[in-house]
Amino acid sequence: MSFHHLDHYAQVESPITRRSPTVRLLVTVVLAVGAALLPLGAWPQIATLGAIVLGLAALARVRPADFLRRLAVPLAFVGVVSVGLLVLAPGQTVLALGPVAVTDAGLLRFGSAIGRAAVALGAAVLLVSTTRFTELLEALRSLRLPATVTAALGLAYRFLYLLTDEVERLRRAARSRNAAAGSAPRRWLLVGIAATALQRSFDRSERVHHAMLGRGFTGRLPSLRPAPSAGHPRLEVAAALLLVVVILASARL
Amino acid sequence: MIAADAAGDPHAVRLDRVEFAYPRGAAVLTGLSLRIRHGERVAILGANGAGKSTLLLHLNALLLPVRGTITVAGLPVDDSHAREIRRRVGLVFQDPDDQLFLPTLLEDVAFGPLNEGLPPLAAEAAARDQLRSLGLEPAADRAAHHLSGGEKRLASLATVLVSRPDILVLDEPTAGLDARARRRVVDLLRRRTETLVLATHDLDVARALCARAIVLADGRVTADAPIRRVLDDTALLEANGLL
Repeated sequence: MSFHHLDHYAQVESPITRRSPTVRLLVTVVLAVGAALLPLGAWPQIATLGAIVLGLAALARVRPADFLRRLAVPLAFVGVVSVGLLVLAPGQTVLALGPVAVTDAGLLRFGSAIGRAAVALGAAVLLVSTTRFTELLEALRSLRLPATVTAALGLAYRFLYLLTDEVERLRRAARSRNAAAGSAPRRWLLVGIAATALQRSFDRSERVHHAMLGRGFTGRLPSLRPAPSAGHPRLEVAAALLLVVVILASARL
Repeated sequence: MIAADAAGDPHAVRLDRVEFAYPRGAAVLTGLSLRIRHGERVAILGANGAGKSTLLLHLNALLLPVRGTITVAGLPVDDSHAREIRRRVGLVFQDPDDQLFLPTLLEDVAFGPLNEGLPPLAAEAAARDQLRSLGLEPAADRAAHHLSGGEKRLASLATVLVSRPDILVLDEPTAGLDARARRRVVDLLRRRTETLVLATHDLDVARALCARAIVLADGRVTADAPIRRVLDDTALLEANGLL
C-alpha cells in the first residue's frame, strides 16, 4: 500500500501542469459544482462534462489505466452509499428482488448520482494527479483559506504517509508469520492491525507534539510564506465557468 | 563555546536528586544528580529503560521533575522558563519522523526560527543556509518521506542547529543508519562546539564524540568517568546491560 507517487503527473510537462495550481484548483471546483448542480437524468450534460474531464486528463498525459484505477475506489464508495436510492424512491417497479423493488425513479436517481460523482471525482483525481500537495496548499492559501487550516492539512498530509508506512510494516510482519489464511481470520487481522496502528499513531502524535514544543511551538502554527497572491487566473477560470453555465442551462431547456 | 553563563555558573546542566515517574507508571528517574560543564561532550549510556530518553526530555523542559531541581543554561527547569530553555537547548529525537512533521524540509527547518519570531524571509534564509551547510539544499522542497534515512537524520539535526542552540541534546543520533550515513553524522557532530549531551547504545559513536560518559541504571547514575575508562571496564558495561 503506497501512494508515494500520487502526484507523479505533476512532474510531466503538459498544458495542464503549465497552468498555476490555483487555476487547476478553481477549474476543478467549477467542474465538480457544475456536475453537482445538474438535474436528474441530464445524461448528455453529464457525458459532456465527463468528456471534458477525460480530455483534460489526456492533455495532462495521465495514463487512462492510472486515471481509472484512482477513480475506481472513491466511485465504488459512492456506489455503495447510494445503493439505497434504487429502492427508496417511489415509482414503477423495474426489477423485484424478493421484498425489495428497484424502481424507475430509483434507477434515475442512482444513475444520476453515479454520473455526477464520476465527473466530480474525476476532476479531483486529475487535480491530485497533476499537482504536488505543497502546490495545492499554496493554492488554498492564495484563495485565503485560514493559515491554521492549511497548516493542519500539511500536518495531516505528512502523517498520512507515516500511518500508511506503519500499517504496511504491521501487515508485512503479520504475513511473514503466515498470518490470516482465510477470510474470517484476515478480517480479524485487519482489525488488529488497525488497532495497533491507531495506538502507535497516538504515541507518535505525542512525540511530534514534544518535538514541536521543543522548537518553540506555542499553539500557533507559523507560516513560512505570507499567503501568495492568486494572480490573474480569471481568464481560464471564467472560460470554465462559462462552459459549465452553458451546460447547466442546456440541461434545463 | 560558553565557559560560564551570565551568572558565572560553569555548568550548562545541573540535576540535583531528580525524581520522575510517568502517570500511572513506575518511577523512571530515582534521585538522579549530575553536572555537565559548558562545552563538555557527554555520553549518557544505559540499557533500555534506564531513563536516558526521559532525562533528555527534562533538559528541554518537556517533562518537569516530580522532585529535585534541574538547572539548564543557568535557568531552572520549570514552566516559566520553558520557552527560553527550549531556545537554548536543541533536542533531536530518536526517530527523525517525529522531528520532521511539515510538508517540506524547508518548512521544517524554518519552524524553529519562525517560532522565535524571525520574519518569514529571514527564517527562510536561515533555513536555506542551514540546509546548504549540511548539503541538503537540493532537498529543501521535498517531503521527509522522500529522503533516505541518513538525509532524514541530517535534516532533523538541521531543524535544531538552525536556531544556534548553546546545548545540543541528541537521542540515539545514529540509530538505524548505515556505515556511510553514520560516519556523516559523526563527522558533523565532531565539528560542533556546543555542549553536547548524547544518549546512545552505540559505544563506538560515544567514544568518537564524547570525552565523558555517564552510565544510568534504574533512573540513577551508576558511573561517571572519562569515556575510555568507562568503555574499557567490561565488568561495568556488562553490569549495566551495555555488553
